[in-house]
Amino acid sequence: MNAAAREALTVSGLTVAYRSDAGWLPVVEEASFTVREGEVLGLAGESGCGKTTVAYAMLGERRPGSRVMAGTVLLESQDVLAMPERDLQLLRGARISMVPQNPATSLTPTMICGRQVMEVLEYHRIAAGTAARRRALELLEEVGLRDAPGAFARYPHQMSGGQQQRVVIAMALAARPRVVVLDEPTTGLDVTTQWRILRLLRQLRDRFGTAMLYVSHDLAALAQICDRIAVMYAGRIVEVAATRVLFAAPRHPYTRALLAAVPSLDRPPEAEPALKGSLRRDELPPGCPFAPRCAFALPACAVTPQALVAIGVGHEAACWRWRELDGGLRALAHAD
Amino acid sequence: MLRLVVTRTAFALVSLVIVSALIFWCVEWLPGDAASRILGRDATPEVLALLRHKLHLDLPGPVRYLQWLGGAVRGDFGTSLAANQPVLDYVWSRAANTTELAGFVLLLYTPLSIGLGIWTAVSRGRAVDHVASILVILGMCVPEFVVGIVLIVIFAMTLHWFPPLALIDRAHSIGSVLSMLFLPAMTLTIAMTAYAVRMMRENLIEVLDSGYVQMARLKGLPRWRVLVRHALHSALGPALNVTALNIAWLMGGIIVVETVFSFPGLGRLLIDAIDLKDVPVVLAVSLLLTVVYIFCNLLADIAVLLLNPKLRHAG
Amino acid sequence: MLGFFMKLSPAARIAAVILLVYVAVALSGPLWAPYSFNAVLTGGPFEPPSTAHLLGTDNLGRDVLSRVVYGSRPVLAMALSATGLATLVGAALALPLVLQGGLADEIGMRILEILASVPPLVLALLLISGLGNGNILIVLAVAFLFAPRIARVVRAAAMAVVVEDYVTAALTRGEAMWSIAVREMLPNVAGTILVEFAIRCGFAVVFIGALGFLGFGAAPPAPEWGLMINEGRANINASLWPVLAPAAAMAVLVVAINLFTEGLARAIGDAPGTAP
Repeated sequence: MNAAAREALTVSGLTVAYRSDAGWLPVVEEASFTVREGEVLGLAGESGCGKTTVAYAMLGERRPGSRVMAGTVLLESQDVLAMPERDLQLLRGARISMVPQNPATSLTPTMICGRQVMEVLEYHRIAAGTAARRRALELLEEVGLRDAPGAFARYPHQMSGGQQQRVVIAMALAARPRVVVLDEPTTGLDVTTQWRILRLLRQLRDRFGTAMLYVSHDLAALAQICDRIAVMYAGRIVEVAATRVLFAAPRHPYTRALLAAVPSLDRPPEAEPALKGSLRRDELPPGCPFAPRCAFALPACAVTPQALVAIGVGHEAACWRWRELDGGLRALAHAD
Repeated sequence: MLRLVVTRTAFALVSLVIVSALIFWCVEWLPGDAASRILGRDATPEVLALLRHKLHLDLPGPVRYLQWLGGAVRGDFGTSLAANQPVLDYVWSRAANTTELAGFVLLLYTPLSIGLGIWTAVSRGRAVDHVASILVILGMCVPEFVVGIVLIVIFAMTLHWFPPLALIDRAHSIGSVLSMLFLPAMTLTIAMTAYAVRMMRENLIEVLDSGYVQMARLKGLPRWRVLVRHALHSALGPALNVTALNIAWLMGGIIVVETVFSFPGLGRLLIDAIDLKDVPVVLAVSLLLTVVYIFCNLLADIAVLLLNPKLRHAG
Repeated sequence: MLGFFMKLSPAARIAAVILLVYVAVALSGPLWAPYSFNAVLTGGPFEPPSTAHLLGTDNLGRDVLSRVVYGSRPVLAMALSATGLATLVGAALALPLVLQGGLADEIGMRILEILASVPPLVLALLLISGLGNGNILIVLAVAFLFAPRIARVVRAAAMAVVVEDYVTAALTRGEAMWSIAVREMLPNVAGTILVEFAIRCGFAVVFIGALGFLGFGAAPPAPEWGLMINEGRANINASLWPVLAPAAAMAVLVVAINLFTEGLARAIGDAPGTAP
């Protein structure tokens, strides 16, 4: 990836809280990252880590009961979070678009698929009438639907999950946005279909240079498409690195644990401890949020806040023990 | 899909035939038969027997039912005992009045229920929604005859905006007919709208929370487009369903409301005919109301089928 | 009992208290009502409210308050007995049909659907004008109209239960139909039946009131709210009290039943599977 490419999306200090009985509970804290033009950035993490909240915030969409407490999301030097509703309307679908998790519930059941694609073209004044129809057919072909005219006229429920997701991707790409946010776009699809959708996304990125923020818990899927990956834990980004670097030399204990949990043929089963316990939002320590589940945590970890620090070229991690863990990690683990 | 509609329609027709027999059988129980009612108390047994024979009253029940049903299918409901004219002409003019009333009701009901349904759904949790939900409960619970009388007290007796009774006939001008129709129409509208708003609101809230409505917003569509084309469209089936059920309910509602306002319609005619033991009229009106009732229930079923594409393309 | 009360929403709790007041008034009314319900000329006709007549008097100089108080008795008694009978019959029809399944269930359901496809008020008027308008006949007529509609609801709930393992187990054990229906199924559909009973009670109050209003209920001088509203309507220009008092009594009762039912449904829904 060309590191000098311009930034398509810049997020800094994003903090989102949800209303709870005990007041506003932060779900995303101080998240900062950039997506460069033509780049695919992965956002990895367990369910409940706040990655979907981040994804929707990119489009200025507030999930019910949530509030943006701080931070900016810059898209072409405009802050999406500070935009009035009218400007958001012009932005969404045109300059940044979304591919949500479940294609079956993302398409309006009472409308044929072609019209749902045409809408994007019409309301963003890209094409109208027969031109819009023609363009929608092209788009449906572009996303690899073999019988585009047939797909155009079908209702969502008459299609398979994979076909539905292709229609959603066609909608997302219709206005040639600079950034596409994908929230678990292959979850719920069978493995073959997942693989085909991932291949399609790669092709589309190569062809149109669209920047993508790809949110997933599935590291195997992220490995296939992402240039860089940011790992999120309990609302905080704990490590960012180029995909190859992250897989070869993970520095944060959480990333290590996640990778250890990925089944692989070319890697022997590791002796490294798998992730223990589960994410408990109500029991986060004031220091490193991962400390309660970390195999290498010292007593001080739980009370010392951790921030992302550069540990290599384009590689950041939020663990103060990264250096000592780096070499002697395995020895340490066995000494426990 | 077509097969489903055909089966439902066929079943509705079978129900109608069976129910008409039930109605015929009930009316048979009305004390005294037609002959003794026509001739009065002083009739000699011979004359009575003669008239009974002439009116086919000496035939067994099932045979008379089939004769009546045969006539009804051809539009011949016999002669009214009280008015001494063909039942159909008699019923027709009353049915026209009731149709006017029902038309007026739908004119008020449709915009009110759609408007309030949408308004309460999009402003859920806010003050408007809370006030509306109290009004909806009142509208659904308080009996029509109570609502009607309260409207009379407020709008006829206190404010003098509308007449308290709706004794319309052909001689009145359109303006005065409308002004007389307003209170009865409003009474029926309140009950129907309450049910519809409740249904619409619940349904629409579910749709507004759905992934596809969020997706439509994230596509950058304007609010009205999201609401009209993506949300309302999905809520249309349930709305038509509740409307059809409401019209079916009207077949009982008019009986009460026409009594409150002394309105010369079908409902009032049924009560009067029962009082006068005018059997052919009772049968004709009951059958007419039942036909509409069954037909509207059928439409309610079909509305759900037709406007849900998942069901539309199945079977 | 008290624990269940605390599970209700505030609105449902208020409604429950109002319903208890109605029941108390119906039970104790004759002990403290200032006049008898048909004592004429206890004052002049159409007197406005005064200390002697808290809600005024009607055209015959009868005390409106006393008539409204006495009127709570037939309303509650008839609505409860008609709905209770209909629920009993409806459940007794639905449960065996569901257990039997197959053709019997199909035919039974069709018959219930046909019975439910007559406009209820029309059929009630015909039945009552044929049978007579005694209170017992009215109760029977209303029960006859409600039973098939209740049976459909109970059937739908029972369909979900009949596939459960404990029913299958009882069937394999060769237990008698009625014993499975009562011991295995009834406790699991009891919540649905209770809520349906409560909903129908509200309908029954309105329905019986409408019959009285149309002149198909109790005959004068019975202190029946629907009848009182109709009688008062003729003299509405002379005094509003004889109309508005029974109308308000009826409206508050029906709203209270409805609010209580909603709270009941929600409280039962919170703890699925537990019979209240």
